[in-house]
Amino acid sequence: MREGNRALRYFHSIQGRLTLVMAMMLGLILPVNLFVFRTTSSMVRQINSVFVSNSTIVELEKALDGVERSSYDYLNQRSSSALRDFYRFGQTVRDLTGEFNDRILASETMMLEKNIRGMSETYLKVSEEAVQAKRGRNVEKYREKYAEALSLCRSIKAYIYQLNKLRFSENTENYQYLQHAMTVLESWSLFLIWAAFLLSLFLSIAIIHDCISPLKALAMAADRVAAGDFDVELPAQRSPDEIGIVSDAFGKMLRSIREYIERLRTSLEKEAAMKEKELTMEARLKEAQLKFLQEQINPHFLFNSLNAASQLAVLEEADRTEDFLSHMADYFRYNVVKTGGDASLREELSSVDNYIYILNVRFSGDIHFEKRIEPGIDLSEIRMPSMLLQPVVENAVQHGIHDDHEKGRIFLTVEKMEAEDTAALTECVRVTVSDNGAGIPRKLLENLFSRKERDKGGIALQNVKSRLELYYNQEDLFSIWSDGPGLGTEVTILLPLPDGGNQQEEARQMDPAGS
Amino acid sequence: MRRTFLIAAAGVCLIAGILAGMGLTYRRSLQVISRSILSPEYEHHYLFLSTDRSEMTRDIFEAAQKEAEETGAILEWGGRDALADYSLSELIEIGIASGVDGIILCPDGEEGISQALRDSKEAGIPVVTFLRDVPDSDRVSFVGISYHQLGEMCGEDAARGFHEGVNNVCLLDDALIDGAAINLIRSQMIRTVSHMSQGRSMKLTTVGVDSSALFELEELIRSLLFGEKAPDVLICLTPVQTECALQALIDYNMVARVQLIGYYAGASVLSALRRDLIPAVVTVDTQALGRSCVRALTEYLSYGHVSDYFNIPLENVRRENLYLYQNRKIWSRRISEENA
Repeated sequence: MREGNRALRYFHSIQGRLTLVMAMMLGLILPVNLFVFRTTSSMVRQINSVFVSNSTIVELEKALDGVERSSYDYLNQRSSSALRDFYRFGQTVRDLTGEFNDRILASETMMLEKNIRGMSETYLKVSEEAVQAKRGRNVEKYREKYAEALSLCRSIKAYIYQLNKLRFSENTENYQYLQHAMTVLESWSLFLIWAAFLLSLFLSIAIIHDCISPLKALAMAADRVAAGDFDVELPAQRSPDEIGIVSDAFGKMLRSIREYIERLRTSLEKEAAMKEKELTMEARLKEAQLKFLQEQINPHFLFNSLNAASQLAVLEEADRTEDFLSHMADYFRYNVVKTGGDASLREELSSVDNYIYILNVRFSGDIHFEKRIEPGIDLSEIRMPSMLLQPVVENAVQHGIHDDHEKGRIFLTVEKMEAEDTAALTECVRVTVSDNGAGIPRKLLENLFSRKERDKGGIALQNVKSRLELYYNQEDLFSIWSDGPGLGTEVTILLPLPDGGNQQEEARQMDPAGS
Repeated sequence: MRRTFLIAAAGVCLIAGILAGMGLTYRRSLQVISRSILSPEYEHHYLFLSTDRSEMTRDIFEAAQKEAEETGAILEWGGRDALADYSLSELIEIGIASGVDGIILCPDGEEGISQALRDSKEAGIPVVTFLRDVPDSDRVSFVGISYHQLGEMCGEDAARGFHEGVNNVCLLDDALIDGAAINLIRSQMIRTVSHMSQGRSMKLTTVGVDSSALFELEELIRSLLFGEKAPDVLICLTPVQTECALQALIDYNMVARVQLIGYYAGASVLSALRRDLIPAVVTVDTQALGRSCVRALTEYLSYGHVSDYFNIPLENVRRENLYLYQNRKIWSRRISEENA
């Protein structure tokens, strides 16, 4: 089976097919030539044999003369040489007539041969009887037998003459027929050789064209590829020959190049998007920083001043002042240190706590802020853009409960969410900042992030949202909802956990308290 | 690819066809060249010997040849071409030397024929004579006609054309027919005429001729026709005599004056009968004669003996029964060809 497949593969290859073409050409032309050669040579032999038969008759006639002459000499002189000649010629006659026909055939020539053969035997027998009679000195008998032999010899010669004439006529007829047949065969042979040649040529051209055409198609495809056209379609391969293998390899190479180019393009697009994001993020950050710098005094100066004031409060033993100044210093330190980078959720919550403390000192404890953190969440491990929660809480203070601090409440919750419960479909931590304050009208809520509202001053939330999405490279992480005016506002921030929360889980296992 | 295959297949078929045609031509050429060797083989070889080359003898030979073929033998006419000058006895000796299986002989009166027949018997080769016999010889059988019947038929045909008074009837004798046979013919003719012709008499003369000497025969017939007593009826006993006499009657414009009773209904004689140039012809059934010769040989070779004499009946052919005779001959020839 394996041998059969190998042979099949061989005959599908170009080498096999070209070998097959050559074999077919030889197999076509060689037998034709052999046949023509054999026929022609056989015909020539036949023509030659036509004349050989006549020469045999002449030889027989000479041998008969020899028998007659030697027997006469012996009867006259009784010499041993004549006797030797007699037997020698007699044997020649026997040999020559031995090849003659001895069957009864419906052919005049064959019957003449039979008669000559029979008469020759009788003639030799009678001649020998004459010779024997001479040896026995029986004069009367050898005279009688000699006369009889002479008569027979004459008759044989007459028959030979007739046979010769008949054979000549027959051979002439045969010769003419053979010549005509030769002419016919020659014409057909010529036609045959031409036909075999043309057929071989046709087969060679057809099979070589069949072999070469895929190569041409491949070359054209290669030219197009060289010109930059990678979408070229290769013709379907009909046989698994060497060109088929090369075409397949070329096709694979082409597909690989296409895929590589596609990957490269995607990579470049991604890189460009990343750069764009980075630039956007930097712009947003700068925008926030600018806004912050415009709205705040120089934090370094303030930070240094606050430190000085805190030391002064310690010296004067004013504990509450020192505490307040300490929170202030922490708050501003955080702002200075974390500007432009990321921070942990713990640090963000601490910053919010500092901010609320400062506000409560400022508004005499009117800001009611409640924080609830789900146990088991490792706040230190959750990274997020810095200065993200404080603007949201500040927004709730300034726009939510600004008009009624006493009744106003701000809630901050941190809880873990499973992947199936989130729009992002990843495990994450949800930070919710809600209030029971002024709320947001539906229309305003729908256009909150439009350019028009942003220009009016909604830049803080927009900034938070953009930074959040840029940081996680994911949308739908920031949402704001209000049931209407006077019904409060809720801002939800989703912080995707790295590696689907495994690290969180591991951290929780290591620290069951979740601190 | 399919078109290529079809064209290639057609080309191969064409070449194969040409090869087959060439092969057939070559084979046929070989068959033509070897036709002598490939010719059918027979069991026996018979020799047919006759110095007479008349149409009748040729018809007898053809009939005998067909019969021989049917019985698995080949019949060769000896003494032709280069051996034309050989006598029958020499030809018999040649036949013996050649080792033939049997000889069919039409003797021509040669004296040494009896010795040749003896030699033949010694060599174990049977000889059957036909038309003319060699009395007291070693031939095994004779196939011939009845001279009694011949005389009767000649008399009958002659009497039918008699006019009132004395009719001169001339019977052309032949050197090959012995005297006893001629006497038998004459006597039977006289008897038949005497029975048939009342008030008419016949004066029968016999003229001896040698049919083998053509020029003499013609001169003799002319002298007879222009003699003092030209015959009213001229009776021929050989085909050669008949041909010569008929030609003379036409040449000398004596068809109406001389009634010619011919012998053997050959093509020219039948034509003369059709044109009413001659009143009748006595003919022998050459088919039966030729076949009987071969059958006699076959019988002898098979059983070692054969009847001494086979009689072949004669027949009168006249204008009245010419059509029937010709049809019968055609049919018998066709039947024998179909049998062959």
